[in-house]
Amino acid sequence: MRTLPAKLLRAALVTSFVLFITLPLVMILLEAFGADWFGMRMLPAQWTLRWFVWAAQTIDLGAVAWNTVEIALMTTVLTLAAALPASWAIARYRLPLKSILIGAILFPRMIPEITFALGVARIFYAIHLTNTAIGIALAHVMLAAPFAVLVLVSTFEGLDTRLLEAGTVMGCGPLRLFWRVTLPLALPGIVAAALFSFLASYNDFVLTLMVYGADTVTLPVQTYLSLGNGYLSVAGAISTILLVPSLFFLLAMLRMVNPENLLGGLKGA
Amino acid sequence: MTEERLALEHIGKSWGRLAALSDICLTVPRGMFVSLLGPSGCGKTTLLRVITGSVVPDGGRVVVDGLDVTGLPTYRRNMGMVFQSFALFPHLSVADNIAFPLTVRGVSRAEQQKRVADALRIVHLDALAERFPRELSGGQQQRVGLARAIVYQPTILLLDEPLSNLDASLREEMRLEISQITRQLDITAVYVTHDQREALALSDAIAVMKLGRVVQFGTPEEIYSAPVNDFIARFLGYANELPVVVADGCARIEADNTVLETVPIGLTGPATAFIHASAVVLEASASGGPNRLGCTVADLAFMGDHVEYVLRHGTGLRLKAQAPIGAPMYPRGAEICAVLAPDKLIVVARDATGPA
Repeated sequence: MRTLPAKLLRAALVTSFVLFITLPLVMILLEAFGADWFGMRMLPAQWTLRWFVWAAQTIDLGAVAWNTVEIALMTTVLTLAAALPASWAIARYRLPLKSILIGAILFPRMIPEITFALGVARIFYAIHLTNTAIGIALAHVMLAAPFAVLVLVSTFEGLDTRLLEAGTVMGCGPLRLFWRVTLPLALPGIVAAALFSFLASYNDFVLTLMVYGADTVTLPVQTYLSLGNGYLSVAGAISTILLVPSLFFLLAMLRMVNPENLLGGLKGA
Repeated sequence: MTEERLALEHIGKSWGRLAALSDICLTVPRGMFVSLLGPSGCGKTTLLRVITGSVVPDGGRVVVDGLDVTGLPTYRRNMGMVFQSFALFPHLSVADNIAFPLTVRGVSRAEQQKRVADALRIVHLDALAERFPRELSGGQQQRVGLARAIVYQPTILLLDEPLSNLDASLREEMRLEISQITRQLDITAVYVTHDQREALALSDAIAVMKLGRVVQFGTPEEIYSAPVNDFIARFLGYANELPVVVADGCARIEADNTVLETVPIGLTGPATAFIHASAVVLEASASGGPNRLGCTVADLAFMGDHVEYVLRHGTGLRLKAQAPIGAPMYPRGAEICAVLAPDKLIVVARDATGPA
């Protein structure tokens, strides 16, 4: 039996941790939906949608949102196209210099994003990839691939080879085995990698900032621009819109796959 | 049509310098249940995977129904396999797991349903068709594994230690089930196990393996009553072994020259005599003579339907004896005479190949 003080202490710790993580979110929501809120007030004096209306009137929100989603979708497809075979090879074959290979894939996430972004911008200016959706998506692949590879390598390493053998004995040739057995077994990991990739792109700011242009403003960049123009509440409103898919995916992911499986790759198998 | 369903001809396989299989020759007639029995590392599972095709032998041929299938990929061999780990697909229901090999073979949906229902009935799982593997007990999962392996009438059913992951109580039930189903459907089966009781109980023939070789091949009765060497006798669970020297067809205990009357011996020189604990009879009289060993009771345990004795002989030999309930009981320290029943005492050659 735990003693009462121990229970209280634990409850207090958990509560403060949750507040610590969620408080910035709460502030953004208050900013976006509140008015007459400055000085010493704890809560806004009135609630309003005016900042959203204002945002919609001054900015082409639809285009910005579509830019963001389009780039995120492209990033997801490109990341999976590269990460699936790479992860399969890393997980299932004996490769020379395997650790160096993994290190190279993780590299963009290990260095400061701004440093990496400067290098990318240099290249993109040279080959005219700035202000293109595909260019930004390509840059985002660098950020998404490390997570995707970690999750997928762990997924593929965890595949039960006995199930693959069972499928083969029962008559599956290599192609059918992949579609009927391997893919369904690996699907949770693949979905997780896709969601991570989408969000890595959707949420990215620093890298996008270095390579975006007038036609490729994304929601995070627009938030920053509105902030620069001094419209804190408009930035809050855009941020709130920005939050929706992230929260939606988070919930979907928690429902669909056991979060501990996702962390498998980070725990290091 | 040939009588032989499966023939393994001079199969060899090495992993680097380690010989996993050496010159294995084995034939399995149609409808026969053959066990590959041996300790872990003896090559029995490798041999099974040579039959499925997931291991390609370095030399030799695998012949099924008279056709050389050595070069045929696994998925075209039409084998059925039951796995130690069950290997059910977690994303498919019980019915879909069993239908899987039928789908792969392009069997029509109506026919699939009929055959899945039949297979489920055979393994007594009719009620669980829509469940998922994770919702089943180990025993139920293995029944699904069995149903899935027989539903497409494979040429040969391979079973890789199918009972090892089950509770002891379930094991016997499942063993009887496997025995009944394979006989009822006249299935040719190859069964891999390290458990001699399973092999003895299930098989029409047993191949005892050690270090990548078949040491003895015969019916359970043959192997049990006449193991070719001490390795097999020990592996079959003979409780007592006595080092003996055989001269002129007569065995004497090495340590004290006690003459042993045994079943006929076909060898001379150093050998080992084996006898089961239940064939060692205890007598109070200490008189000597053939097959009589004066011993001290070192320990005894009441086991319900019998009493187990541990006896110490003057030469340092230890013997185990089982006395039926109702026979006189002897306390620890008692001086008694252990009489070895001649018709249950076997003398076998010593295995020269070293430890398994």
